[in-house]
Amino acid sequence: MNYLIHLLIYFDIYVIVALSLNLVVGYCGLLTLAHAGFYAIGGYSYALLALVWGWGFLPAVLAAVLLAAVLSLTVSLPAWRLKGDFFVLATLAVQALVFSLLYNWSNADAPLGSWSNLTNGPFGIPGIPRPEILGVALTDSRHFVLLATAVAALSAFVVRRLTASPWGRVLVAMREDELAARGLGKNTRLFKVQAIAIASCLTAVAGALYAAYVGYLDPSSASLDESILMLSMVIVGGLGNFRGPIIGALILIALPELLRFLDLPDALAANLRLAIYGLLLVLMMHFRPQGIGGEYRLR
Amino acid sequence: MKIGAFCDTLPHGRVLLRAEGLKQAFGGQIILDGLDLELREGEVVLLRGENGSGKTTLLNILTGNLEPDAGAIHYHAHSTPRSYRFPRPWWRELNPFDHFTPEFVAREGVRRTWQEPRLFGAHTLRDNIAVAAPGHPGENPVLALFAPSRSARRETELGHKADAMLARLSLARRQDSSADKISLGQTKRVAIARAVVAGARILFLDEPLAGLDRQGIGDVLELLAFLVRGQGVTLVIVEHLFNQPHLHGLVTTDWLLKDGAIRRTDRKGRGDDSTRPHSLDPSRVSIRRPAWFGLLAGEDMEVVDELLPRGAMLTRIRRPAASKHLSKPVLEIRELVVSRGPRVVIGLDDRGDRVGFNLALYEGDISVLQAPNGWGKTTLLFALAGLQAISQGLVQLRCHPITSLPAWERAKLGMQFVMSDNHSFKGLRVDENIALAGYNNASPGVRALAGRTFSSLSGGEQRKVTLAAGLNSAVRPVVNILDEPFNAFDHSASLDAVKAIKSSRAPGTLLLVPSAV
Amino acid sequence: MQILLNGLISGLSIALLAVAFQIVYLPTRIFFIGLAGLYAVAPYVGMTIQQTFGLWPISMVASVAAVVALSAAFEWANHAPLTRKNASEGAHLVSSLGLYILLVQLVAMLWGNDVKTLRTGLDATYHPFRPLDDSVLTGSQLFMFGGSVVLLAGFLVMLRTTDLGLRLRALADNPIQFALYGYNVNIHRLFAFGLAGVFATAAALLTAYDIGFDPHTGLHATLLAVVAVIIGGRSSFVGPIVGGLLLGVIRAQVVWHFSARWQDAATFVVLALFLLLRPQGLFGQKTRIEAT
Repeated sequence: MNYLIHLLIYFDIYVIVALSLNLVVGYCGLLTLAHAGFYAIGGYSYALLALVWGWGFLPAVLAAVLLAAVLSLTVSLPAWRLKGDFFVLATLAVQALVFSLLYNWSNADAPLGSWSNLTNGPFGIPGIPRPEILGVALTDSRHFVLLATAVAALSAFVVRRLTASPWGRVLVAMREDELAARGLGKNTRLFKVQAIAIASCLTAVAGALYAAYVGYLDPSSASLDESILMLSMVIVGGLGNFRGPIIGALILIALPELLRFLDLPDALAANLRLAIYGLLLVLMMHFRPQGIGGEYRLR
Repeated sequence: MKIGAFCDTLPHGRVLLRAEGLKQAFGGQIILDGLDLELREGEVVLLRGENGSGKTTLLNILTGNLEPDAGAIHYHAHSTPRSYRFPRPWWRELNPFDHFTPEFVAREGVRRTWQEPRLFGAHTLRDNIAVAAPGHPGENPVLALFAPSRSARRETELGHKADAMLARLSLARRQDSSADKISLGQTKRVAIARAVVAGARILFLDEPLAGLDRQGIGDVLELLAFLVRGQGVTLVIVEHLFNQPHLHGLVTTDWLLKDGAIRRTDRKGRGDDSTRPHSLDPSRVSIRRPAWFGLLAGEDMEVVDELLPRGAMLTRIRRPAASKHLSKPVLEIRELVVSRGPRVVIGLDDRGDRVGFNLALYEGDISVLQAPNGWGKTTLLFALAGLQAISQGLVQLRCHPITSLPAWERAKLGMQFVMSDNHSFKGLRVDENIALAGYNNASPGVRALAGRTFSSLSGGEQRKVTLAAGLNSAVRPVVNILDEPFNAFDHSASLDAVKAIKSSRAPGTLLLVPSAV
Repeated sequence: MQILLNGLISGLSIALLAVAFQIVYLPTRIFFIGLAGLYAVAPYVGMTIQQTFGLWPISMVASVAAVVALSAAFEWANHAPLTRKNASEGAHLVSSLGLYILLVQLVAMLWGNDVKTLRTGLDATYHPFRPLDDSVLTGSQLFMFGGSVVLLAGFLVMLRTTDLGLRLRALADNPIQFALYGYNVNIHRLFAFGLAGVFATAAALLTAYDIGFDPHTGLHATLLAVVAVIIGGRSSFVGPIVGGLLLGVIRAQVVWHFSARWQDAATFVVLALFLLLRPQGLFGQKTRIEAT
């Protein structure tokens, strides 16, 4: 039972990540590799605010969301001018900078959370507290799963309503033909800023949930590998609709569990899992470029 | 700018758009040279000018797609006019509400269409129209999320409007089908309708009739007439010569773009035959020969015209003796069908049925395929070259099927291509360009340019090198296929090109050119 | 002086990889992330052969051969079929990313995740500028330094003087016209991928002898190479070399003045500056942007 709850919590987190990433990649047609950066920013903000300053869950997550929204400009402003490979590179730069900051903003002599040792560098932040909501501490996973599922459902609702709205319709128009959309008077720059900000906020929430659940966070959550993993999730699952990313999140959960039956040593299993992801990406591009349940093919 | 004295008597309203002293140059070549113009409410302007005279550039500038080097543009369509002066100082770009971009110009009631319809492929037809509506509350994500009822009300209203518009276009039951499932003429009309729903006061149309069959032309003209009379939209139309006569009943004003400036003339008597779009017999029109034709045909040549589907014409020029023993064709195209995306481009007949395209090129022929813009000349060229997949049909070179061969195999078998653009290695030197073509005994005129980088040559020099290299690229040439070889050439340049073509060793030559009227 | 030397050596490695990237990028417009996998494989092949035969020249030749074969296989099995299907830029990029992941994980499964070093017997140290300066170079550094300079110079000379070089430049300039003149685009693309394999191996071995290697260094190295391409200019073969050397020197300076930990931050700040202020790079020409 505990094992199922554990899986469900991970699934909740991945669903938020995949749905939000799909907003950028699938609806705006912008291939970003910076998503893990915002995930980690959310996680670190929550961890530090809760652990060092003793903030409650909701205010801490709210602050994390605001920070992610502001920092998302580092991705959306380049999207004003850059296209294709150039944009991918710019997001890579953002990703590398975030990782570098989290990894290096440390000083062994100063206490965690102080200005000279904000992130504790490669050692990460241990002992992140579980949230307390309405006076109930969610230390038990059975309680935490309720929170995670509620947040995931709320996120899904938000994404669903937004993509079905006229706002989402403009995003798709912009993805299909940006110049034509601009010619109709749509301020596509503003739409990009909005979409990327919303996606970054959502993934920051997912990051905060992750930090709160696992209780430990290190810079690898902002690594490029993490971004690639998130990307393969939406690409394999499918881009440009509601169903695709959820399928992607399911596969991400199911694959390691299936590999368990092979009874491999741990290190090898992790490598094999990633290798399968790589293979899936290649095969998808050849045989089903829109993903398993998606509607949009990458340009 | 001179406005004819009788202009004032015409029922034209106030000035909607004024441009002063527009200048634009590309790489030293001056396109617009202090151009002035004025557009009044209710006018239907036909923007004319030769290929390369800058019609599209002007259109791009007036719609905010391109920033001119100098000049000023004033938009008066709304009660508060807006002016842009160029060159714009960099600090103006810091103000997010003052940019010269398509979306900001669009807010001044200016819309445009492109030669391609550019509908949003992932949207249904209804959404293609609905997405264009300005000021939709649901386009604000906060409102979309927290006040869906406001958005929904507008959405219902818009849905009715879009459906009504589609019904007007006789697409009443097709609201939910996607844009690539309807004919080209229909997509063009939806694209125009979309621009109007977006609140166009001034609509710029880039070749709205290109590539359409007679039915499609009639439908688009009917829509344009409705916009002018029913909706009071002011139109500026760029249209290819071939299709210009169709617009006769509609146009009130001509702008002739020449030497970077506009000469304006007003047409009298609009409305004479405006109830019925002027129709035209293509067989009668296309007898007119382009200027270079005489050079090519000479005096002792036999000239035979054949009509092809959808307004195209094939003219064979051959020595009279050659026709007596009609040899085997050097190039034969049988029942060719080529599609771009979901739409068949080559192989339709006048009624839009998929019958396949046929053409045979005989020994000693210089054949000229004249076709209107949008007919699919470039697609045909790419299909022959092996750069574009062929859906169906057969292409034979000297009775040897080449349909499944890659481009380089076709080139080795003796097909020589001269493309109209992107036809050379721009970063390489001229001698490297001709060495790559395998052209060893270059003419002195070409050899004189040898050491220069191709991109540093003038347009004329570039064409000369390309023509020479292209027509000498095969060891044993069989056919030459040239795309618009005389485009924007003056008399002496055309003469040189004709000489080059006539002196080619290939037994057959096919020229693809836009129809002249 | 030592800093400059170290910078140049790491810069040379970046430049080699940047050239490898560019050799594929220019003619095919494929954003070749699979290069990172090739970079990761090369030293492992070298190490295995070294351990078996104990002769470093053989191990080098073997790793070059293996990587060239792999690189050509990437084109033959992945990119050429995708191009035939008219796949998008994004599809090439994602599939290339997939190949990278696949290859690196296979390497990790075969040889383990830990850091390894190559020993060559070229460990003596030299002081090339003795009377003036105390800079130290190890024998392997000196050897690789010489080797890569020869490789890069040879490549540039080959491009300028030989027929093959001309054809490569032509393919990079305009693949369509290249085909219309009767040249087999597929073969030349395959050759370009193979050549990229040679340069990737050289870059990987240079770094492997210098500071060691593990399966996951490839992506980072490739990113640096791409940054070098952007700095140098995406439209030339010389640009990436200059960009790589420059980046190496800048990174060494950052280490000297600040700390090794800020190297990457500095690199990507430089990238961001170039993308915003001079996206065409040092050697690139500004292209006319048309409204389409």
